[in-house]
Amino acid sequence: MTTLRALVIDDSRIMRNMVMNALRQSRLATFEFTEAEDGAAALTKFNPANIDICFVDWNMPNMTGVEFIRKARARGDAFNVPMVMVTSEQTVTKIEEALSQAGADAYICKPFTAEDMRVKLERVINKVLVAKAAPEKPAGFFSRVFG
Amino acid sequence: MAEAFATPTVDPFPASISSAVRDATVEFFRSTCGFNCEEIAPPRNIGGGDEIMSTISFVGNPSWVYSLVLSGETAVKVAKVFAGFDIPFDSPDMGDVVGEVVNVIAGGICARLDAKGIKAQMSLPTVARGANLSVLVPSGAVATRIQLTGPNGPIGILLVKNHHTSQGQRFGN
Repeated sequence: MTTLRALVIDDSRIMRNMVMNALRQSRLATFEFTEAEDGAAALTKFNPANIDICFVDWNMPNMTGVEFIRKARARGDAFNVPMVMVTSEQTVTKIEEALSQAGADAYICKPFTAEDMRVKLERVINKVLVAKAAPEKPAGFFSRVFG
Repeated sequence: MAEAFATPTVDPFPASISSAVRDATVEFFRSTCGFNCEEIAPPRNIGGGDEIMSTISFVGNPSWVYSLVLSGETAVKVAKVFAGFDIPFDSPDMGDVVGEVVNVIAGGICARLDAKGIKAQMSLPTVARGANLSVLVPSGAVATRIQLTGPNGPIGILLVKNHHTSQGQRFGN
């Protein structure tokens, strides 16, 4: 099974463990985790070459999760790294802000179960797994015709 | 100006907020912990012992504060169900997990208030642990207590707001 390198960002150590446990139990993939306790620390650890997917809390000291996503997306080389919000914020306004404005790819409300993770992340994670399995150079028209 | 600083004779805690708080708290303990909590009315005085309290602020109009108080035994039970493993009461992780519990409840409160057209932005939670905890409410503030039945003694909720904030823009918010 392909291993995904996941960055888990939450100011609560317990919650980071809960996210990691739920992901392991979801059996969507195998994971190798890096942890960060807020958005600012996450930015220093975030490198699209080494991270396949991010799980991001919203309310954290120093830098919120949404600010982290905006700054990560602004790098220009992180468009393909899925950003999954995992937060207790559950109003429509907040969900829209994360998904439509900041650029999050999925939204999971706390509390969650491994089954919630599996259902909400299946599509996102399959996309990452397919991308990782594909050859490094994108298969465009010429490479398909001429090999 | 004199009347602007007069203390109103009647300024109860907004029922729309207290009902959202009660519903969100009961729902959290029911759906996440499997505890069926019922309101104890009027609230009783609880005997001493180890307690843990987490507090979170809601900024909006009005702005107010929510505190959840759990007995030591209840906190240990809640932590085990919520986190999925045993956490001793005096562990640093206990503060982490109770803060996270209040954070999740606060999310439910915000959603319920939002459905009523009341906007509220929640802060980060803070946690205090000790024996016989008491909250000293500032003079002039409006406070209300809600008490729910818990698995090991009552679950306490304290709501506090400055009475001025319900009357408009006096503090510029």
